[in-house]
Amino acid sequence: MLCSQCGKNQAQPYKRWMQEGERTVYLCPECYRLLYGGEKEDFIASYLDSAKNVPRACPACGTTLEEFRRTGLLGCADCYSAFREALIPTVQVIQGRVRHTGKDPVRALEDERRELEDELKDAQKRGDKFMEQRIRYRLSVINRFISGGDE
Amino acid sequence: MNISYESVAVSSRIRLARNFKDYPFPDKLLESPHAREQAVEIVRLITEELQTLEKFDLYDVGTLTEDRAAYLVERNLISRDLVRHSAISAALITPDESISVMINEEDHIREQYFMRGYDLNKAYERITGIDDVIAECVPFAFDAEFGYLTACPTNLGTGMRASVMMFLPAVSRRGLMKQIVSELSRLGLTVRGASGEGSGAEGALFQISNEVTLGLSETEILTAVDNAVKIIVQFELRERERMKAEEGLALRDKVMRAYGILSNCCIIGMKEFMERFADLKLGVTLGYLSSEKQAEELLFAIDDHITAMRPANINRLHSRMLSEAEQNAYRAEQTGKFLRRTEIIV
Repeated sequence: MLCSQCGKNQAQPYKRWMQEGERTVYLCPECYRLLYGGEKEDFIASYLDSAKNVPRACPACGTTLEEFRRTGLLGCADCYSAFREALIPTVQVIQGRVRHTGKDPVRALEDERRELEDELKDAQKRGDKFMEQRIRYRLSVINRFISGGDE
Repeated sequence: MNISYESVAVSSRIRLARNFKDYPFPDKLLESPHAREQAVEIVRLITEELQTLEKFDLYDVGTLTEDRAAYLVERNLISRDLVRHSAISAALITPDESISVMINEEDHIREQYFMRGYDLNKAYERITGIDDVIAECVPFAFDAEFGYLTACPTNLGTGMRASVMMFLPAVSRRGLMKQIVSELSRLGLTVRGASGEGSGAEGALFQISNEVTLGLSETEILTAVDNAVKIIVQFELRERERMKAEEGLALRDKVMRAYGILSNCCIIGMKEFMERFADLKLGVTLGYLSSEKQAEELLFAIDDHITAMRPANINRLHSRMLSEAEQNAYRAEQTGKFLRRTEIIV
C-alpha cells in the first residue's frame, strides 16, 4: 500500500490514539515524521497524552508520566496502578495484547505446595526424618508467602 | 539432536525479569539515600535462599575492577546495565556459568540460564525452578492484567526472553537475512547481533528471540521461538548445500585461507579473528575440515577459544591490562597453538 499522504512511498500502518479512539493511519515513515513529528517516542506520547484522570505523579515513588516518556522506564510497581489508564493503550501498541496468560507466582507456589505435601507423605511413610524436616521447612516458607504475601 | 542441527542453533538462553513489590525499581532506587542498604538487604535475602539450592558465587559489582567486570560482560554473565548500576548491583553465578542471577539491573532480578546446543524447554525448566525459589524470599510485583511488572513495559507479562544463538554463515553471505528478519517480526520475534541489542552480526552469529512478552504463556513463547528456529535451521542447511554446490572451489579456498591465516599469523585483531573463524567453522560444518574430535565437539572447542581470546578475557589471563597490540599478538600466538592442538585434518 502506498502512503496516503504523498502517494509515492510504501506505507506502514501506524496506530494513533485520537479523540474518537484508536485509528490506523497508513503513511510512509517520512510523512509520519512530518505530520506527527517523529516515530516511536511521539507515537507513544500521543497515547499517553490521550489519557484522562491520571495523576501527575505516582503517589508511591514520585515518577511522572513525563519521566516515563523520556526514559521509557517506570519507577515502581505502583506506577502501573497510578498510570494504568495511560499505560493500557501504550502496552497494547508495544505488546499487541494486555492480558497476562503466563506463569502466576501464587499459582506456581500452590503447585509446589501440592507436590511437597505428596513428598511429605512419602517421607513419613519411609520414616525419613531428615527429609520430613526439610520438606516441612519449605512448606512453612511457602505457606507464609501464600497467606501473607501477594495481592 | 544431530550435528547439523547444533551447527546452526549453537546455544540457548532463557531470561526472566522480575521485581519486588515493595522496593522502587533500580533506576529509581538509585535516587534514594538508602539505596545501598536496601540493595544489600535484597542481595542478602536472595543469596541465602539460592545457596541452599546449589553453589553460587556472589559478585558485588561495585567492588569489581573495571577489567573484571568487562570479563564477565564478555562472557555474557552480566550486562552493561548491571555495571552502570554498580552502586547497588550484584550477580550470583554458578561456577559452571550456566545460571546467572543479576540483581538491580534494569529490573531487581534478571535470572538467566544458558546452555550449549539447543534445548529451550530444558533451559526454561531450570530457570523457572530458580525463579520459584527467589519468589519465596520476597514477594514479586505482579498484576493480574499486566503479569510480572517490569521497569520497561516491553518486558511485561512473562518477563521472559527466550533466545537462541544461531550460526548463519550461508544465509548471511547470500544476503537472505533481510527476508528472515521481516518474517520473524511478523511472528513477534526479533533478530539481534551476537552480543544483544545494538550489536552487529559478529562472526555470522545472530540471536533469535521473542519480542512479545505479554498475552502469551511461557509455553506459547517457547513454541513460537522453536518453530522459527526449526525453519531457520532448515533454511541455513539448504543454503550451505547450495553454496557448496555453486561456489565449490572458491568456497573451499576461502575456508583454507582462513585456516592458513589463523594457523600462521603473528598479529590478529578481533574483527578479522571473528571473520576468519566464521569461515573456519563453516568449513567444519561442510566437512572440509575435520579432526579426531566429533565436529560438534570441535565447534564447541572453537567457540570456547573465541571467548577466551576476547580482550578482557586475555587481560584476565595476564592479570593486567594489555595494550591492543599486545593482545593481538597474544591472540595470534594462542590461536596457532590451539589449531595445532586440535589436530585439524584438511
